[in-house]
Amino acid sequence: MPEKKIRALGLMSGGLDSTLAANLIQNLGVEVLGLHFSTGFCVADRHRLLGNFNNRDKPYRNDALHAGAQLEVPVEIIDIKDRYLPEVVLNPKHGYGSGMNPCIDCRIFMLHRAKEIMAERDYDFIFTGEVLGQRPMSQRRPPMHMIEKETGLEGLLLRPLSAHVMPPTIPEEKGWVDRDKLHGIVGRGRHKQMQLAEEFGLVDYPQPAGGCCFLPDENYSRKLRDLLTFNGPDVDPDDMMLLKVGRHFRLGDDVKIIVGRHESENDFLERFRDGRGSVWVEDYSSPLTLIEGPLSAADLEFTCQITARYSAGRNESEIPVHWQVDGEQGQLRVQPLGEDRRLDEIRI
Amino acid sequence: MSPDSKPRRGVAAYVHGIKSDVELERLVDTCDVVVDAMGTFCPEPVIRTQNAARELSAGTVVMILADDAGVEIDLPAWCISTRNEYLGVLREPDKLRVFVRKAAPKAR
Ligand code: SF4
Repeated sequence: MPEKKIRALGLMSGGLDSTLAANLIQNLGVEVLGLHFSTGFCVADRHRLLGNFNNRDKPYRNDALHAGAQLEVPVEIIDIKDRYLPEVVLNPKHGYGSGMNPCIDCRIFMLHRAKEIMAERDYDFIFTGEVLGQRPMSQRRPPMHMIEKETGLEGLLLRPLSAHVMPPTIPEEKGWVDRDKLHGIVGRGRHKQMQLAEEFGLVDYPQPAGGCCFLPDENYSRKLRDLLTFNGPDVDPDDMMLLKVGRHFRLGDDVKIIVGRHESENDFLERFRDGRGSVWVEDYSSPLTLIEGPLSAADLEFTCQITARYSAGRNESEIPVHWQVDGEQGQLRVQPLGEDRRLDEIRI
Repeated sequence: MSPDSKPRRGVAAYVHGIKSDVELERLVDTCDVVVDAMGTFCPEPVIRTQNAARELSAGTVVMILADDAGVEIDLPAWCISTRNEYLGVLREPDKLRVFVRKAAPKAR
C-alpha cells in the first residue's frame, strides 16, 4: 500500500511570514492547504470597499490568495465574520493589545476552527508563520504555549520559522518534517525572512509595516470603543461598516456625525444614507456628512458649519449648506467653522 | 539557493484568461452555474465562488457576476492556487463577468 502523504493546514494571512512557512512546509514534501480567516477587520477589504487603487494603479489584492497563487498552494477562505465580533472582539478572555486587538483570543479562535477542519478532513498537523518574540501580545513564549494548550493542539502546532527555539513537535519527532530544515528565527527583525524570500524566489509580498488588520489601529479602536460605549454590545453591522470611513464626531450621547474625507468615502457613505440624516454643500466640492441619531436645531447648525469647514468653500464668510433630516430638507447659510476647540473635544 | 526551493514567478496572479471575448460571450448563456456577487466586496466574491465550487463536478463552468474591480485579480489568483481554470473576464460598464471552470480534484 502506498504511504499516506502527510497533510498540513497552514494559517495564511498572506503576509511574508505565513507565506514563508507554507513554502518551507511544502518544500518538505507535505501537502499544504492554506486557511485564510476573514474577520471583517482586514485593511485590504476596506480599500476594496472604497474602490481604492494601490500605487501600481491596481485594486488592492487579497494577499493570502496571491501568496497561494505564487506557491501554488490551495488557499481556502474561512468566513468567521459573524462569530468573530461577538465572541472574540467584544469578549476577549485574554484582553486587548495596544488597540482593540484581542490577538490571543483571535489566534485561539482561528486555531480552534483549524483544528475542527483538521479532524473533519483528515489533516495531520497545523502550522503558522509565527515568529517567537515578534509581537508583544501573542508571540511570546508563554502565550504561544498557552494558545497550544487552550486549543488542545499541544504537539500538533508547528511554527516552522521559530522551530529551533521551541520544543520539537509531533511532526518533527515522527519525521513528517525534517527539523533540520526548519529555522530558529527570533525577534522583530525581518532580515532573515527577506533572505529566505529571496532563496525561495518570492519577489512580490506585502511589506510588514502596513499590517493587515485594523483592530490594533489607534484611531479605529477609539471609534469602536465609542460605538460600544454609546450603542451597547448589540452593534448594528452597518454601524460597524461606517467605522471604517470618515471623520467621526460625537455631538451627544445619542448623536454622532460622520464626515466623508474624499470622494470615495462620500460614495461609500452615500450607500448608507437611507434612514440617516445628511448634510452637504452644493456650490463647492464638499464632504457628505451622515447624521446618526436625533439632532437639535443647534446641532444641525453646528453640523452644517463642520461640513462647510471641510468643503472647498471653507474660506468664505458664509455659504449655503443643504440638509435632509427625517424626510424634510432645507438649506442653512452658515459661517464655515474655523479653528475651534470644540472640534477637538467632540472628535472621536 | 537551497536544494528544496524552486524559483517562482513574481506576479503569478495577474493572468489572462484562456478564452477569447467571443468565446466568453457564448458562455454568458451556456455556463452551468451563475454566482451572483454583485454589491459585495473582497473577500465575499471569492467566498461565494469557493462555496459554490465545492458542490460542483469537474468541468462545470461558473460565471461570477461582480462589481468589485478587485475580482479581476483575486479570482485568477484563487484559480491558480486551487488549480481551477481561469477562463477570462468580460468587462461591462456596471459589472464584471468572470468565468471559471472547476477542475478535477487532485488525486491523493
Ligand atoms: S492583529 Fe488582528 S488578525 Fe492579527 S492576531 Fe491580532 S486581532 Fe487577530
